[in-house]
This record gives sequence, C-alpha cells and structure tokens, in this order.
Amino acid sequence: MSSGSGNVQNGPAVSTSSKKSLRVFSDDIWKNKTAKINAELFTLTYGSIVSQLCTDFQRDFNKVNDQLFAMGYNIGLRLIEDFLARTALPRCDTLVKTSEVISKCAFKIFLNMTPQVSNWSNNKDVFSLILDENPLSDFVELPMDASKELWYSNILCGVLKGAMEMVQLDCDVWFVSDVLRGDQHSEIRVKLNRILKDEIPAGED
Amino acid sequence: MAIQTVLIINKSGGLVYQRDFLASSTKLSSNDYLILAGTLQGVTAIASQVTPKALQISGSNLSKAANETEYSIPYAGPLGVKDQKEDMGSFLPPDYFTDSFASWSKSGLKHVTTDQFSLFLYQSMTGMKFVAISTQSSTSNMAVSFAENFLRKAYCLYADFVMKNPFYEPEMPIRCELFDKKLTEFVQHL
Amino acid sequence: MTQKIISPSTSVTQAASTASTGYDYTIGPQQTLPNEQPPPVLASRLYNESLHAKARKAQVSLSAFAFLFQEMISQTRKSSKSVAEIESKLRGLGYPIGIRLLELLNFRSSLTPGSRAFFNKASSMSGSAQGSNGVSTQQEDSLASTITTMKRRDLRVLDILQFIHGTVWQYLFDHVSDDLVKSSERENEYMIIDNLPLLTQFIGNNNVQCDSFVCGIIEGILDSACFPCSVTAHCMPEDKFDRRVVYLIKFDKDVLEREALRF
Repeated sequence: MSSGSGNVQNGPAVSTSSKKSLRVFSDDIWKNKTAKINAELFTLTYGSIVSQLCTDFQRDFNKVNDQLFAMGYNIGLRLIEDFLARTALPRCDTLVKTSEVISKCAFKIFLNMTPQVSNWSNNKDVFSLILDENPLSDFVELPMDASKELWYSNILCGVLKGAMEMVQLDCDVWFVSDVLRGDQHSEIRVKLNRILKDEIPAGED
Repeated sequence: MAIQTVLIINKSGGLVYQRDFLASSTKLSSNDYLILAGTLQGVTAIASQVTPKALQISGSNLSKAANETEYSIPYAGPLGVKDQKEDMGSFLPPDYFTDSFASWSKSGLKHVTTDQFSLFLYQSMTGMKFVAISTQSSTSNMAVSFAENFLRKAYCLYADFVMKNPFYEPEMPIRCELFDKKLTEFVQHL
Repeated sequence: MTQKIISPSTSVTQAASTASTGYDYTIGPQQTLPNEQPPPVLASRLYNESLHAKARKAQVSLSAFAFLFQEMISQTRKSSKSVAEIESKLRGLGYPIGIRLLELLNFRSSLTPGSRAFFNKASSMSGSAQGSNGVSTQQEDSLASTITTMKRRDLRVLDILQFIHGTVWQYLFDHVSDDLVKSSERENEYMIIDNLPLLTQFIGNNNVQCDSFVCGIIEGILDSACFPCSVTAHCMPEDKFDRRVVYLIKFDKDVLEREALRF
C-alpha cells in the first residue's frame, strides 16, 4: 500500500488543492456520467424490503439489523467494482484519504449526498460519517416497538464493510445514532482493524 | 488493431470469462485458457517482485506530480461507443469516462508481445484482471493506452451487466447473456 | 383496502395519531402502552414535506437502485423454493409501494399554486425549527388545509389505466409507458407495454420474471383504487426492443359488471 498518488487524475490541468479537485471530480461524475433514478422509488423499495424483513423475522429487530447488514455486505462486494470502474481513483495511502473518498466521492455518486467526516480517534484509525440527509429513510417514521432496536439504514454499514474489504481494508462499521430514533444526528462509525496486505493484488506496489 | 479475445481472471487467478470475437481466431482448448489465466496471474506476481529495488525506491521518491504523469493513461476518445444517444446502462452518454486515469498496476505485467499478436492486461484494485488479445504486435504508447481504455470500458460493462445481475454468483464463471451481447457490440464498434 | 381520499379536515389528525400509535401496515392495529413516550419525530413536517413533489425532486444513481434491486432478488431467491414463489414474493414487495403511490400521486396532483407557497414557507422555517417540537404550530398550517379541491378518484377502468400508463410510469421510470392496449380477445384484459424496462435492464431474460416487482406495484395501485385484478409480466421482444415487457392486467369479473352498470 503505497505510491498511490492519493489524488485524482483530473485531466492534464494541474489541480491546486486536492480537496477541491476530489469534490469537482465527483460532482462531474454525478452530473455528467451517472444515470439517475427517482430517489423516492429507491426510498419506497428499501422501505418495502425493511418492512417485509420485520414481518419475516416476527419483529425481532436485532435479526433485522443483522439481515440488513448482510444484504449490504453482499452489495458492497459488487458495488466496489462499479465505483472503481467509474472513478478509477488510485489507492488511498491513509485512512484520512479513504474517508474523504467515501464521503465526497462514493456517497456523492451513488446517493447524491456528502456526509461529514468527523470524530477522529487519536491514532486516526476510527472516524465517523455524519449523515445530514439520507435517501433511504426519507418518508420514514419508526413504529414504537422498533424505535429502540432497529437501525433502519443498517444496510449502509454492510455496504461500507463489503466494499472496503474488497480493497483490502478490514473494517468494522456500525451506527451509533439515527435521527429516526430521535437522536440529533445520524452517525456511522468506521474502524479500520487492519490492512489485508497479503491480499493486495500483485503489481500495485 | 482488432480484438481477438477477451479474458477475465478473478482475484485468485481463476478464469471466469473467455470470449473470441474473430471467426479467424485460433481456438485454444478451455484447458489451455485456464493455464493461460493461471500463468498470467503468476507472472504478474513475479513481475512485481523482480522490479529492480533501485527503481522501486526512486519511484516512491518521485514527487507526486511526476508520479501522476508517469502512470496517467490518456483518454483515447469515444472508442466503441456507437453514437451519442446510445443506451449506456448506468453511465451517461457520450462516454463511460472522459478523463485520463491512473493504472492501478504499477509494477505488474501489462503486456506481452510476439511478432504476430499482443496481449494486454488491466488489473483493478480488487484484483480482477481484464485481458485483451489483439491481432497486432504493437506495444507502442498509443496501442497501450488504447488497450487500457478498451479494458476499462469492459470493466464498466462488467460493473453493469455482471455485478448488477442477481443471478450471477461472485467469483464464479460469468454466464450473463447481456454482458456477452454488450461486450460483442462494443468490440465490433471499435 | 378501500379508497380513501385524504380530506383536508382529517389528514392532520390522522397524521398525528399515526405518529403516536406507531401504526404498522404489516401487522395492523396494535395496542399502545399509555406510559410510553411518543418518539420526538416531527410528524407533520415529515408529511408536509414528503407530499410535495417539487420540493424534493431528488435523485439517486441508477447504480444504487440496481444494486439494491439485485440484492432484493438474490435474497428472495435464497428464501424461495420455486420460481413461482420468487415471483410472488417480488410481487409482494411491490404491492405496498403501489398502495402508497395511489395516495401520494393523487395528493400531489391536487396541490394548487397556493399550497406551493405554503411549502416554500414551511421549508424555509424547517431549517431553523429543526429539533424543537413544532407539532402544535404545524397543525394550524397544514399543507392539506391549502388544498381547495381534491383530485377526484378515478372510477372508470380507462381512467385508472391512463393514470398508471401516464402519471405513474412518468414518476417511476421517467417516461410514459409505450402503449396501453385493450385485449381483442377478452373483455377484462388490458396491456401496458414498456419497450425499455428500467429496473431489469441489467438482468436480461431469465426464467424468473423480475418485473414481477412492477406487477406488484400495479396491483397495489389498482387494488386500493377498487379495481381488483391480477397482473403478470411477459417478455415479448419486438423489432429492436429485445427487452420489451408486456404487463397483462386481468380485472376481476365484478369490475366489469360495475363498469357496465355505471356507464
């Protein structure tokens, strides 16, 4: 894990600040290169899935959380290929870079949102994504019995876990708060356990 | 340059896809293709190990800017895309991408040439390898960037018509009718 | 499910009561313990904002949807024993969406310029009012109270089919459906045709008809509009449209009987 320039190849023009160019790069992909669909159809479909799971698991919301995570994990394993084909971004050399790519690029080009990155741990191996908006949970109000146990958007954690594992980052990802439960923010925590060095494809170093 | 064959090799070196596009192409037995896939996987690994240490060190000391230009592959124009209004799946016309881009494989095997043909290899960060065999024996900069553009587009098609197909099991051989169709159309319009 | 027109005088209280009982469609009415605190969700804000199409016009990437759809089908396959079971489960996942769309789209098309102004006011307020409990103030200026006439419920087969062919298709797939045809052989059969089905475009022909999900949506709409029917999807390529899908709608007999009586 090295030598990735960590920045975007944004044409021959020399980019001034890496922060800005990642944003511009991602906006361009979202606007000009990505086919889109009505976000409400996405919201309603996800809602239908969650509500069906609640019935299937007889309102055992811990099981629903696990199932949503597992579904997200499967999605992540596949979605990463779309992300890489679409962006061709080089490997990030620090978790700080990774967090920026996740928030400014990945969330942007899939869900048209940009969560804030914050709450870094001292040794920079844990960070939070604060979701100001969330197209999965628009329209949604949790029923009473679910409001303390269900992490409605838990699929997102699974997606992050699966996608990062495919680029050899072993992480734990979990929700710590959700506005649907009455919290101030929706916050996802990401902890890097280790880099799976043995699995980095030969030829990258 | 005509594309004779496209191969896809998964991260463990298994051949998951093979398709010939020219009637004239020499047919290898499926066993030979499996051997080819395994060999490419092995050679890629070894190639990065035999990179001279001196180069590795100077490479990592290069300034960022130099690094970018060194590995950046220029955008080769809308090759393979028929017309501006074409249905491009989850991508928007006019093209799958329009910027130059970096290759993930820096020290691994990238091409093999004989006097009769050349083979190009594009490896993603997940370890998927896309291989094209072309009927020209050219590894000029032009040919290489052309091939890498072609293979990244094949990767885009893979992301749409293989990854988004619920009947495909990851890591397994690819049997997706739409992927075959789109890739064939794409090769024919090069 | 019977058709309910949201009338301005009742929609606010409905919203409030839904919030406090935590009504869940999948299990029906439930008892609520009296000492439980209702969750501090700004129910009426949620309702007002969701009901306004122009307010949001939000989009996500087709990829994001396609991956979710793909995984939904994978899971359904894993938990089913037969093709028929997969298709019926997909239909079941689409059905509740249809029920919601009938209400949502009719409500939205009833909004007047006045109610748009209301919304602009509400959205500029909502930013600052976030976190504080605004239920009491919002009850006074509910979006519903600005609606002067509610769009009339569709009573005829052709009207409701036009609604699906036009409004619903445009909303879901960003184009009206390519054709709406009455069967020449059977009185109770109609067909909605889509040359380029958006949701299944990455999947291709298969022994499992993944467009059953859309069948569920159509059934949900027609059922809750009191046009009980069954909907099936058929792949029928034509010319250059090799993924062309025909949705065959078979209305129950009493729908036709009613139609004959009334009109």
